[in-house]
Amino acid sequence: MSISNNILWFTVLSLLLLFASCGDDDVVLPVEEELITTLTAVLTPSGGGAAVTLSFTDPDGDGGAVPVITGGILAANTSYTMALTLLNESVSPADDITAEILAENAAHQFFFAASPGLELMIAYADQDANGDPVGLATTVAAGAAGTGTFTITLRHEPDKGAAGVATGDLTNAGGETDIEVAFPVTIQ
Amino acid sequence: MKYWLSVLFCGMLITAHTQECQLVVRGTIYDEFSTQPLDFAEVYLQEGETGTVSDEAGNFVLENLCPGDYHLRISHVTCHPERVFLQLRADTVLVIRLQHHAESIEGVVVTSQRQQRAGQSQQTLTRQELEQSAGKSLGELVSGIAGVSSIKSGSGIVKPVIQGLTGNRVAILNNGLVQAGQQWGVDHAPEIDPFTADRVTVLKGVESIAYGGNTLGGAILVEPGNINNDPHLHGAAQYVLASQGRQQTVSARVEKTGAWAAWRLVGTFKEGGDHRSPDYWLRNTGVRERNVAAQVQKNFNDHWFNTVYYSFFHTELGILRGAHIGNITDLQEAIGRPEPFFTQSDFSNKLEEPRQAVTHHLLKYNSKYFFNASQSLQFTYGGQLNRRQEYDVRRGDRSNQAALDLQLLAHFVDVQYLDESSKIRKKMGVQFRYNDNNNKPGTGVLPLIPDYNLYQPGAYAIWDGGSEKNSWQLGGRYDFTALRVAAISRDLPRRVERFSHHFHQFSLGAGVQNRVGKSWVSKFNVGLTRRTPEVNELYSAGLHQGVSGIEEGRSDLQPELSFKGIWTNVVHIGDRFLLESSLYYQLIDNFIYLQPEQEFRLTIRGAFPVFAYAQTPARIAGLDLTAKYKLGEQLEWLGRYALVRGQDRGHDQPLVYLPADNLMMSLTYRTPDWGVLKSPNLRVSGNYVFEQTRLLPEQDLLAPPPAYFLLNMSLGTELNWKQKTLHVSVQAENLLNIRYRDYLNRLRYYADEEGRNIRLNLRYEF
Repeated sequence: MSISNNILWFTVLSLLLLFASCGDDDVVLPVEEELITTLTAVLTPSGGGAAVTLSFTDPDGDGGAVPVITGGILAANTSYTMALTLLNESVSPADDITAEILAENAAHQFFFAASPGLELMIAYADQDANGDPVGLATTVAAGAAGTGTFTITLRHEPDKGAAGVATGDLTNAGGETDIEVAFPVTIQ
Repeated sequence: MKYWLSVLFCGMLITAHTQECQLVVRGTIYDEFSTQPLDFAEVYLQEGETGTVSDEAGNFVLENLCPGDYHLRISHVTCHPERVFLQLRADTVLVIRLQHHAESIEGVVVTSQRQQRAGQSQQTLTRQELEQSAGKSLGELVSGIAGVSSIKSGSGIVKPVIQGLTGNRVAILNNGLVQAGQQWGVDHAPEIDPFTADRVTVLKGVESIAYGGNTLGGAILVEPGNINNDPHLHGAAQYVLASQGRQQTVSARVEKTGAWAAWRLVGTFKEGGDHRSPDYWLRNTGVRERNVAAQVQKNFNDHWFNTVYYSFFHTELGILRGAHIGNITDLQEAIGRPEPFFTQSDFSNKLEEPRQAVTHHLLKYNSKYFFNASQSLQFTYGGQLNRRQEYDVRRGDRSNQAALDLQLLAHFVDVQYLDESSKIRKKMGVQFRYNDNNNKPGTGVLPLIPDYNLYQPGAYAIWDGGSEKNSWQLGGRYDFTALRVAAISRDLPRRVERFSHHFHQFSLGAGVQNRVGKSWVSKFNVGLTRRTPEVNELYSAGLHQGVSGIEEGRSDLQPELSFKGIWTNVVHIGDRFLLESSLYYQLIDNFIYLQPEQEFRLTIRGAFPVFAYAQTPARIAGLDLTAKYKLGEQLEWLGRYALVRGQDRGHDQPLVYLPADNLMMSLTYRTPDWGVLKSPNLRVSGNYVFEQTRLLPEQDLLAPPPAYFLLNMSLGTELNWKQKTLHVSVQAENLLNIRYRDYLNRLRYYADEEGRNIRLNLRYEF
């Protein structure tokens, strides 16, 4: 009998001890400072006229609400200057991610691709500290009329010295993708 | 129990009249496993610098000894040498059981007939094997056992797979405590220093019931042994230099039975840089590890035993730089490459992002009180604190800021009653487990798994009995689990959402063992187990980096229900041939797995495949075979074959991530002593891993890699002088520098496995 009594006491004591040490946990909401929620591409016609804005917004980041993608219509045989803006709108006020990219411009590069049927020629119009392209500022030449997707990719830590990377070829770039957004674009 | 065993081990004192330098030590030496007497075992009296050899019946005699304190060293060509401390006051009779060499087929845990439990399927790595593979991780060590393989993330992160199951379904017991870490992660290796262990046991049957741990697939026990009952300071120092990663491992261990208590200290230090595949360096695959363990044993009297054990484990691991990807396009690009992105042309021992830093503290107090020789009560407290930090390549200066930072605090209490007084042995106990998991603030990332508290009271009982010829074992266990989860919402505004779950889990097991003939033992073991879903299966949410998929938990998952049968046969044919076969069949209802969803999830990094936890009826069956043949006194052949088949019965398709069939063979040549070189040995082994062909093309992004063959070799000997021993061995793995990839390595999308590895292993015992 004394054995089972011992067992009982051990158990009761240890359980009490444990419950006493259990506090309710306070969950801290993380500040998602690194998140990119919004990408805006503003295309201004070189010869003047109304600018075209392409945008991707996903204020709550991955998961949650579905992102909103806004495409645009470009004029045929027209050249544009394109400026990219990146924001983190999950925090208030919104964080300017563009500035962060600029500060680390040697470690970032944007790449551009148009699907077949969409005649777009893109040329870098900016340089990082080493004289390599970044892609926050570009010139875009729209060709003949057509429809397709225009994909903007941002690579973190690409190998900018690899073959073709400086002229905007992704093949040998490496690094990891921070942004890959396809916009529906029509040229008419 | 431990006390009685150590008495048995250290010998029994039989008194006779004392005379000056006329004392006699007689003894018999047995093989611990076969209980056969060992002939030609060397018995060396270190103080007297005299020795003898045992006869055919295992007997030896040392005569004309003066009273005093002696160290006896007993060695045999096929056994691990043992040292026995002897306070010689009178004529003495010793019974010595030697632990058999590597590849002993059956468990060789402790010498007690009663411990040969009925029907259990277990296999053990002996100290010999542990010493030989020093410097390797726990996962690599156990994958040498039949039926155990490993799932890897590169060469540094290795998780054991037992008979096809891993992760949450396998319990790892660090010194009797269920390891409380983030075991759910495929890239989370067990935080245990194998240098602290004297034996590593893999349990696949009923016996694992006493340990708990929410398992379906057995348990791995990593146990330090008892401290030798020797009043002198003894210990060992080991140094391992490996060509892969230019990795150096230093470990030291000292122990002593002092006047007040017995103590042991173990310290390990490991440091290495980039590993290399046959063609290129694997950038950022280094490791830094520091571990310390201390054990104090105090016996207040001859029926109350206390042990305090503390261990600290800290590791920093690099993960192949080229495996860090942002989205599925990156993954597809990485797959086709001749060498990974970011490959460097030179060796480096720098650790950069992505990397992991893990710290684990474990404190255990164990108190055992014997009411009499056969009844005892044991109290165990275990406290563990696990901190896991994972660092990613991030923008800004955030690479030094962990992207995942989890802290798990675990308390565990067990009270166990053991009764061996009647023919039926009873072991029963109650347990309580409390886990508190917290995401440390400051990561700047939504957590992958939420904060939670887990409360788990449980009770268990195991009975065993029977005769030498037929024996049985029966066990049952029940646990109640209360889980309180505090998750963060995925939509805006971010808020804390609290959930609560209650689960009942149980485990029932039975085993019988029948000695069919003198040389044939047959065992049968069945188990019915209900496993509670773990928090990652219920609530994980986020991107799984390595495979570039989004994983989503499902909070309405039901417990898994498994039925498993294992049939094991051990057959000796003559005294030369030994065969062990283990056949198993497991049916799992509500098997939890990751189901690829039809739709992709659109994010700013592109569209990701979504994998949601789902449940299906499943089946796993397999066969583990081990055979040993003595070709002569000096030459021994060993073969091992493992096969696993798994089927998702709900969708009628194979289960993913099951090990491919594999076949291992080795030849060991041991020569008699060669001058000062004692027990020199040469071992050549080959390992053939088949291609995993049982997989549908749509079940993986990349087809499983082709079959491969690895050749390994090792050469070892030892030198003895005075009371000291130096073991020297050189081992070569993947001697032919084969280029290959393994299906169960998650980095197979990115890089080849490592190439040739030459290891120099020095161990000095004093």
